[in-house]
Parts: sequence; C-alpha cells; structure tokens
Amino acid sequence: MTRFAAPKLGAYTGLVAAALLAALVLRRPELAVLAAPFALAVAAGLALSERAEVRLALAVTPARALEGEEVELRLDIVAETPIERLDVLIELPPGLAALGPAAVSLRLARGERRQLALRARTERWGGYALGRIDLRARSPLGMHVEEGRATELASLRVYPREEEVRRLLAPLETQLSSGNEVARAKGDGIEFADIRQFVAGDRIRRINWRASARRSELWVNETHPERNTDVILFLDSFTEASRGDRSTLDLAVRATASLAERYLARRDRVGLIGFGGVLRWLLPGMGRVQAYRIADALLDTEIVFSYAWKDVEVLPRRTLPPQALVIALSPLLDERAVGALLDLRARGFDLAVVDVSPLPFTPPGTGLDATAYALWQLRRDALRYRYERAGVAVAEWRDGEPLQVAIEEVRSFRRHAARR
Amino acid sequence: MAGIVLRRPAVVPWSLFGAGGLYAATLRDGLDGWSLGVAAGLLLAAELAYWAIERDPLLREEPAVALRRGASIAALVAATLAAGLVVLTTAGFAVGAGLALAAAGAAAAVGLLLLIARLASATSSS
Repeated sequence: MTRFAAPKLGAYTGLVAAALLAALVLRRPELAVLAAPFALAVAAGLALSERAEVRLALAVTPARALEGEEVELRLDIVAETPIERLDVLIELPPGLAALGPAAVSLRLARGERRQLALRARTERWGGYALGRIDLRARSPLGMHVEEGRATELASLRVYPREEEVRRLLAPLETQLSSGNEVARAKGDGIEFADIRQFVAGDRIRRINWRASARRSELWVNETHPERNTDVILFLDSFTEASRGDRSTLDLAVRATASLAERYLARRDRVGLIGFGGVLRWLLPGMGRVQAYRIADALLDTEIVFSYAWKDVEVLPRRTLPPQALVIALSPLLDERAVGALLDLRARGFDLAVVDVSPLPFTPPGTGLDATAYALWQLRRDALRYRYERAGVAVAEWRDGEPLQVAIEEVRSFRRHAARR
Repeated sequence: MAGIVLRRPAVVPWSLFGAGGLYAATLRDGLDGWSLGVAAGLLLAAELAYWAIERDPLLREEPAVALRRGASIAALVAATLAAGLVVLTTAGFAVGAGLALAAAGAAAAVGLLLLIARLASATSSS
C-alpha cells in the first residue's frame, strides 16, 4: 500500500507555525494557546501512526453460474497491524451487478479477522476475474493515509442462459451410430417406413398380419432406424452490432449454447467452430463432457478485430465431417463469414443459417442516415436471396423473439425445398 | 462550510487561520482566559470539518468507526484544555520576564516544529 500524508497533517502543521510566529511577533501568549491543540494533534497522530498491513482472501460461491443467477462473494480480511479505519471497496466487473453495498468502513484490531459478504447478480455470460478491491487505511487522528489495490483473487464462470427450443432442425443425412433421429434409410427401428413381401430370413414378428390377410401372402413391416447425427455449430465472431449491454454476439452465444445442449441430449455429436478474429474449433463429440467443453469454449468468445482474410480452408478437416448439419449463427455483417458459409454450401455441406439480426441494434436515423439504412436493408435482403438460391435456409432472428421461431422458419424452407 | 460543501480539505486551514486572525484582532491588554475556549473550539471545528469532508455516502460505516473517531475528538479537546491551561499559567507567571524568556519561547516553538518534522519523516520512511 502507498502511504502519504493526509491534507490534515500539512494544514495543522501550518496553523501551528503561523500561530507560534504570530504569538512571538505580537507578544500574545493567547496565540500560542491556539497553536497548542493542533501541535498536540499532530504529535499524537504521528506517534500513534503505524504502517497498515492486511491480508485478503476472496471466494465466490458458486464458482460457475448461469446468467441471471445470484452469486455470493466472501472477502476475508486479516489485519496484521491495528487499523483505525479501513475503507474497503469491492469493484465488480461489467456484467455483474451488486445487490448490496460494495463499500464498507471498518476498524480492525491487531490480528483481527473479518469477513465481508456481497451478493451479486450475473447479468452476462463470460469468464470473470474477480478481486479488484480498493483499500484505504487511515491512521489514528487521520495524519496518514495508505491506499492500495488487490487484483484477481478469484474467478467466476457465467454460462449463457438457454433459449427455449422445442423442436430442432433435422439433418438431411444421419450417421451410423444409434441416436434419436429417424434415418431415411430402412433398417431395424421402431418408426414405420413401408411394407414388402416376406423373404427367407425375415423375423416372424415383423409380419403385418392385416396386409398379409388382405393379400393372401406374407408381408412384413419395414422401419426406419434411429441414428444419431453430426451437428456443427458455426459461430461468427468477426463483428457484432450492439446497443447498451446487449449485442448480436450475446444472442448468438446463447443460441449456440441452447442448440448444443439440445442436440447433445439426443445423443448427437456436436462440434463448434468460432469463426472470427480468433479462430477456435471443437471436434464433434458426445455426452456431458462435450457439453462442458462447448460451454467453456463459448465463454471465451469475444470480438477480436482482425483484417486478416480467413476462409474455410483454415479449418481442420475433422471439424467438418461429411454429411454433418452445419448451423451458422451470424449477423452476416462481415464478408469473410458470408463467403465462408457460401463456400461450405458449395462443398456440399447441409447448411442452415440463423441470421442474428443487427437491425434492432442500429436505429435508422433521419435524413441521409435513413437512406443509408434503407440501402443497407436492401443489401441484406439481396444477400439472403443469394443464400436461398444456393439452397441455404436463412431465417432472421431478432432480439426478444423466441429462437424457435427462426428454427421453424428454417424447417419450413427445407421442407418446401425438398419438395421442389 | 465552503470546505464541507465543496469537499475540498484545502479550504479548512484558511478558514481556521481567518478565525484565529479575527480572535487576535479582538485581544486587549492582559491575558485573555477565553483563549482556551477559542482553541478548543477551533480544534473541534477543524476535526468535524475534516470528518464531514472524508465521509463518503457510498461507504457503509460501521458504528465502531464513528464512535472511535468521536471519542478521539473528545479526548483531543480535553487534552487541548489541559495543555492550554499549562500554557496560560506559564504565560501568566512569565509576564514581564523580558527578552530572555521571549528567546526561550522562540526556541521552544522552533524545537516543536522540528520535532513534528522529525516524527513525520520517521513515520513516512517506515
């Protein structure tokens, strides 16, 4: 802690000097009496002043939370020396809101241990380094002040809250492992597919007795097997549109977390590509461990400005398995992401795009600004048409709307596209 | 008052200096016993002014902090009265003692300031 003289010390010393000088010059002992208390205060303050030493320990419970949950910060303070007055200010990073007083003044005896508790609400996902604590200690009679700051004593991981998704997008192709997705091919399963004539080797329990009675020969049921799918979530982190404390990246991360959770619950393999200034990827995997990996990877997502051109060539092959369903979550603001998605489609990937709309975050303005806004909207419509011509379903998702609406729009496009 | 309203500690000593100057201007012949009360009053005003300026509305202050500070101020005022009494008594005996005593008084004043400076430098370097 940095120690310095309080303004009071200089003021009192000056008053003592002035009063004593005046007493000598004017030969008035009364002026020396005026100086006496200030001299006494200074002498006593300096004699009693001792350098303050404290030890801090910060713990946050729970260390992992969801957006909107409350966490508790506990600060342990141990005074190695007596401190007449210690001001403690716990600074919370943006994204956490204190629910009680974050600053307190207390007095500590030598060796005394105190615990301060502060409840906070997590308002935004992310990884937080907690522990920016400002300290100010005052000596007895306030002649000296010491100030210091502690940093990074604890960490907190806040995961994005999930968007409600009731029905997911079905991929065009399934994989070989068992899952919850009904495959197009026929095989052992429970979903009825068709009937055919009995051949040697068919199981007796597969015989469709009603059809067999009608045709006077044996017919059997055919079914679709349940297979799993590979789903790759493509998160565009080149740029974002934001307003206040909300942004398109926040929406995209929440949607990615929700989709990952739902697909993993169906025993599908889910992979993640963070395509932006910093390129990140997770190979497709299954189960709870993959869910944690994806959640941790999403926490590190942030906009990093980069002018370097990137395309899908930079991605390792195993991140994009053939026949995988690629769901892109992008505001479609950066040409690199737009181009990469069209490239994926050209390579034959099953692609769907959720356009995390930047329109609610950019007010239209007036005059020339309104004209520019209208032109920008037209460009976005043209881009959307370009995707649809390539057979890519694009659904606009706005802040405040359920994600399910966008997913249903994509499902509807794919259903009609299949019929054509 | 201006110092408290503007939260500027630098204004406080000037106001005390002005109050002391006004008191000095009212002094007449003979030793004024009211100087004790004036000294205690000035110290009390200074301490309360600095307390008000240092007080932060965002800080939740524990009762022990305020009680301790109040007790310190009260102790200082009591010590002021005692010390002032000693000074006045000494001055009363010393009326008419002449140049030698004036020189001794000046040396004591300088010595006090030097002691304060010594203590300040000792605590700053520790």
